[in-house]
Amino acid sequence: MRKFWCLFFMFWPVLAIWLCWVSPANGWWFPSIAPWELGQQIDDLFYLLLIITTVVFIGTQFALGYVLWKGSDVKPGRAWFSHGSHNLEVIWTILPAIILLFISLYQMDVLARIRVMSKFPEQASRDPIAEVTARQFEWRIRYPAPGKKLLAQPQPDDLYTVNDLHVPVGQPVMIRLRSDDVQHSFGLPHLRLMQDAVPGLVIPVWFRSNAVGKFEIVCKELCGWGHYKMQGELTVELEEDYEAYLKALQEKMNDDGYPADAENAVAQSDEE
Amino acid sequence: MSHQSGHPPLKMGVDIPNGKLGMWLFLGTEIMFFTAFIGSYIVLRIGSPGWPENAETTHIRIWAGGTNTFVLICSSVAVVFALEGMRNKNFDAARKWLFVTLMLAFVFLGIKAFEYYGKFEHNILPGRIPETDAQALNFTGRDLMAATGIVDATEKLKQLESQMADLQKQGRNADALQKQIEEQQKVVEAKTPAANAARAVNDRIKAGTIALGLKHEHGEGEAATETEHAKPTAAGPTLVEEVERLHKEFPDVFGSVHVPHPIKFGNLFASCYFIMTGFHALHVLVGMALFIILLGLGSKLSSQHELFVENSGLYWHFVDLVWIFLFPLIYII
Amino acid sequence: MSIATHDTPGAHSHDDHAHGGHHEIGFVRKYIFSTDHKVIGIQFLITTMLMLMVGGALALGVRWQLAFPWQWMPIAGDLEVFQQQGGIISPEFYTMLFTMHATVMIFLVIIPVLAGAFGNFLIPLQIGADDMAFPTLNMLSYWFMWPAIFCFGISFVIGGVTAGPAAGWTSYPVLSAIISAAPGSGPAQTFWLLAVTFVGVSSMMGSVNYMTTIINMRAPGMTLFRMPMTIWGMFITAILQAFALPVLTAAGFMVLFDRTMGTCFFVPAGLVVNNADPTIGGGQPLLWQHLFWFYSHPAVYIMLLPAMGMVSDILCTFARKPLFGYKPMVYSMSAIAGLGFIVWGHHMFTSGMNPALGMTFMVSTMMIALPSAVKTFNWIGTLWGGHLHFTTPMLNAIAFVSMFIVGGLSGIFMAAVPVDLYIHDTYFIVAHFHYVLFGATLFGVFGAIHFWFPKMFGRMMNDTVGKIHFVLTFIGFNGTFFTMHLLGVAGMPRRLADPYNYPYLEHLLPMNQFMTYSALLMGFAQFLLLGNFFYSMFWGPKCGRNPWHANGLEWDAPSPPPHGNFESIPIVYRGPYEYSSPETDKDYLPQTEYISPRPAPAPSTA
Ligand code: HEA
Ligand code: HEA
Ligand code: CUA
Ligand SMILES: [Cu+2]
Repeated sequence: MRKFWCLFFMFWPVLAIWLCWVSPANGWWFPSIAPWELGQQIDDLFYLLLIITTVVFIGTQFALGYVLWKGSDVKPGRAWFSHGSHNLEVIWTILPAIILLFISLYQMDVLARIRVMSKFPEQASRDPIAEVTARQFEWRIRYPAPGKKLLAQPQPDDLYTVNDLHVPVGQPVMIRLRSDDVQHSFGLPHLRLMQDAVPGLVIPVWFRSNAVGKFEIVCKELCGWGHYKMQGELTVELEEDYEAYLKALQEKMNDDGYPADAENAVAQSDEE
Repeated sequence: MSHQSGHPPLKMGVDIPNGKLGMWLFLGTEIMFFTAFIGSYIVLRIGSPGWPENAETTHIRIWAGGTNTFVLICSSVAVVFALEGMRNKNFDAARKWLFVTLMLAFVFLGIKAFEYYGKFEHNILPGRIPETDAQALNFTGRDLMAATGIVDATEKLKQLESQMADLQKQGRNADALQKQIEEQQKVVEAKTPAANAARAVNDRIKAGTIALGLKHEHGEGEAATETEHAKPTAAGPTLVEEVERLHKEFPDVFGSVHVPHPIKFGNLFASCYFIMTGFHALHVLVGMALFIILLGLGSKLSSQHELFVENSGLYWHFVDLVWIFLFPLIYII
Repeated sequence: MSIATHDTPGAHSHDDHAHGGHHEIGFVRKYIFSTDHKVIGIQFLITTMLMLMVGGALALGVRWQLAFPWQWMPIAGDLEVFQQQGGIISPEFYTMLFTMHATVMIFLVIIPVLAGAFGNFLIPLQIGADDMAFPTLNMLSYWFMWPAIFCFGISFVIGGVTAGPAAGWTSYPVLSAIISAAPGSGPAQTFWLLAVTFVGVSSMMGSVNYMTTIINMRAPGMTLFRMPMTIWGMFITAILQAFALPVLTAAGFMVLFDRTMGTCFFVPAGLVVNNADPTIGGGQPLLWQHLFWFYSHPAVYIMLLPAMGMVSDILCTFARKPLFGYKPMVYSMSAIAGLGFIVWGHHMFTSGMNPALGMTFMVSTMMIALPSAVKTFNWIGTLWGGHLHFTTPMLNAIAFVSMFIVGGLSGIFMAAVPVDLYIHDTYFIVAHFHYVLFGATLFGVFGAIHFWFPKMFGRMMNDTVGKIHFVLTFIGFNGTFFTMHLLGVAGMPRRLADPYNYPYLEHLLPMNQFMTYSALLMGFAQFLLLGNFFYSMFWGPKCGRNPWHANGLEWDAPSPPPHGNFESIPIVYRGPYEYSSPETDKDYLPQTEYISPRPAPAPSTA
């Protein structure tokens, strides 16, 4: 019975590792391969951490198992009367310290490339492709008219869509992220990216997708009762398709009574 | 730690009575409490693109704050004398000094109340300060309408009328209700001229054909009002003139309505000002309660209260100290 | 198998003790408005156990929706209030459920059970004092819980099932600061904030009291480095609480005023919320996050350190071994507390905070894993070469170590900012904090309940039922929460009423159903705990002063200890963990036992 408890505590780490092992095959893993290099670097970092923590996990759990196994022997005499070991303390302080410092320094570069404005690709930060405004419970997207630049203040010829963001494939693109009401979060799980939309701030976000396709935009910050359905779509398409899309959008807006709406939106953004 | 020694000392811990130690620790938590406000104030102020610095518009009175600082410092000294009296078993002196402290606290609150009054008077309250001319216009329009009370009155009339309709449908006697309705109609009628006047002003505000017309007797150079003024506004009497006219025509209706002065970033300022000074004033009140308890003992005050006096004194020094931080932060920079 | 012995039946006579006589007091003063730290501790314990059931029931609601979205709720679905929704969980109600689940669990279960229940019960007993430094303050700190419970309760029911506090337990403005952002949340969110203030006042009173007591009321000979780890845990927790909590209280007032009085600390100008008028203001929503996490990160260690201390006591007792590395344990606990004040930004990696600041927070967060590592290794070292007794408290304590490793290691993933950009606000986070909060702390608490129950009531809890409870909880727990890591990696966001709305999450439904069944198992296992607890309180076998043969001062007092605790002032001669010491023939050596120095060969040095 004493050994039973030891086995009991050893049983579950084995199960846990097995579960992680079979997960990718069952779809309980990253939704898809990240279609850009920084996304892949994030994945790599994740795997690096996974390896380190798995080693630590196995090490500590089995050390625990070992001492339980030993300690459960019904042996005569007394327990080992020891108050600890100075050398061991030093070793097991310094070793994790090195590992942890290594981890934190190792990832600085990826972080900087994602977040530090001055390290953004020139092309992207010069011409933001769109302004994405979160509001309860939708994503409003404002593009500049084809051939024009996105300005901070809305322009009369800007193009508007809701929940439908299109970007050209293979190019770094930057959006200006804002919020009209409460806090939201602009999440692109397939690209491993997330940025909160904070009321009162305009936050630049850049990314690139090297694969065409449609990806979900997820709101990841609780923003009210409709948070769960605040879903947008990112369409990555060929440069020509993208331009055609903007053209079509422009025509649609000039056509059928849309401009009035556009003006409304302008008026609302004015209050910024 | 593993070795047993001979016989240990009898008293463990520090050489301070529990009560005093507890008070010190409590003051530690209080420091963090005010640090949170002061820190937020600094962050908000640095993060804000501007700050109303003109004492005329914000009704910040350095002399009042300065006097209050002086008053509090004096009261801190007085409390020290009170404790001195307790230690020397001179309880009359102690009572006397406690009384002085209490009075100084009253003086402090009096001056504070005067300052608050000035702000209430000019509606310098969080959430009520217009930050642009447009907001000043809208707020005044809203206040004018509210002052007439016409909306409520008509609402009530409508309610009565629909009740009436119900009764009539059921074919029941409605004389009493009829009387009520007539009375209510009179009320509405009485309010109508004022309401119409207010509506006229409101229409002009909505149409954007009225200027604020505040003379910048104080606070010339406030960024907000400058830019707003650059906009061409239509001719005709300004809002200030209109309100003055209304004051004359319906003194008892619109008497309380004033055209507020727009203060750019004023709401944030007022929020910070009131939360910091407000919580400080609350602490002053608590301190006064302590002194009142002590004074209430009258001649029963004795050596057994020495710790109480000492702790109250500690607390009072803390209240004083907080003010010494607040004064330059709010009044000077 | 168990070393529990029922030797001397509890001394029930009212021995007069060294701390002055006391007169008989009536029932109300004795059991309800008592100033006796033991009664207050037990009051806290029972209250929090009941709150655990409430919080757990809310969690089961959450789990129901995740496994069977928009389906008729069993039991609750029949209630009148749900008729309008057709007996299903509406999205508003879902938000209320997890908000209140977290609130109840954190503010009304974990914090009060550690500091309130065990802190109160154990501090005077373990340091050899007759009571707390300020008994009346102590009583008030319990009774200030009730306005909090009351306000939380009101906030949950005041708006029906479609309106309540709806901003999560983190309560981020602008959602929580502007009423129109969450229609109907008006008074509910306000009551919620008020309740947090009451909890704050209660904890503040408690912490000042604990610090004073521990600093100033130790028995003769109880030097700082002879204090049990439990006391160290409580002491450091009290410091954290005293210096972090006022910040939350202040911030709570600020949101409260934003909601009710038109201030604008957290509300920027010109927002159009739900088509209402544009807001006037100029505040910063991120300021709240800084203030909130400045408290709430230290708070997660408030929710851990006392459990770490209690687990250290339990492990030593049942391994019959001294604690491995007592001083490193103390230092690492202090280091956790110190570092805990400078890592709060790791909750805000995606918030748009300055990246340089983000990197600083990342490094400090990584570093905080270091003292935790030292503690983990020392626990394993403690078990190493021990004579283990697998009693219920011991099993729970081992589970604590095992689960804490998992929870801590998942923390490392999130501390890496780029990885956090992906897993922030996914179920990976939910897995992380349930592993540390439930897996670590709550298992520690379960262990502590079984361990100190004999001292509280003079009776033993049933060991077999305790073990069944442990096994079921352990299995249910891992079934529910380990799988959450995988959901997180698959990108399933938290706080989502219906994740299957997103095509890329649809295939996770069966997994969620499995978790819900596990959660049900875990939930029903808690009835065993409650049953065992209340049954043993009245009908358990009586036990003597020291059923576990433990060393601490508390085992020197009668079970249950009378008002005033000790018959005579205990005198402390050594640290609390001298098990299997060669100096005596027993395998334990109580702190109070005097052994005249032997001239014989010098005892081994540490
Ligand atoms: C008791 C509670 C508790 C504890 C102890 C911890 C401990 C830790 N937490 Fe956790 N945390 C929470 C409760 C807790 N947390 C809660 C409630 C939230 C969510 C709040 C919300 O958003 O609602 C949260 C969220 C949270 C986040 C934010 C995630 C996000 O929202 O995106 C992060 C990010 O860094 C984090 C990190 C850590 C780290 C690094 C530790 C470390 O202290 C862990 C250290 C321990 C170990 C590492 C294991 C033992 C060590 C070894 C075996 C040695 C060797 C290891 C290595 C060399 C790697 N936590
Ligand atoms: C100490 C803290 C603690 C504890 C113990 C728990 C315990 C549990 N939590 Fe906890 N949880 C949090 C703290 C905690 N949680 C926090 C802080 C959040 C974040 C909230 C936020 O995002 O704001 C959270 C969020 C959270 C979520 C995510 C919700 C979401 O983001 O959408 C989920 C989902 O599964 C969940 C599940 C559970 C379950 C199944 C348990 C189980 O362990 C509970 C087991 C059950 C019991 C112990 C009680 C048994 C009672 C009964 C059996 C009574 C039955 C009665 C009837 C059925 C009428 N919790
Ligand atoms: Cu928008 Cu959540
Ligand atoms: Cu944290």
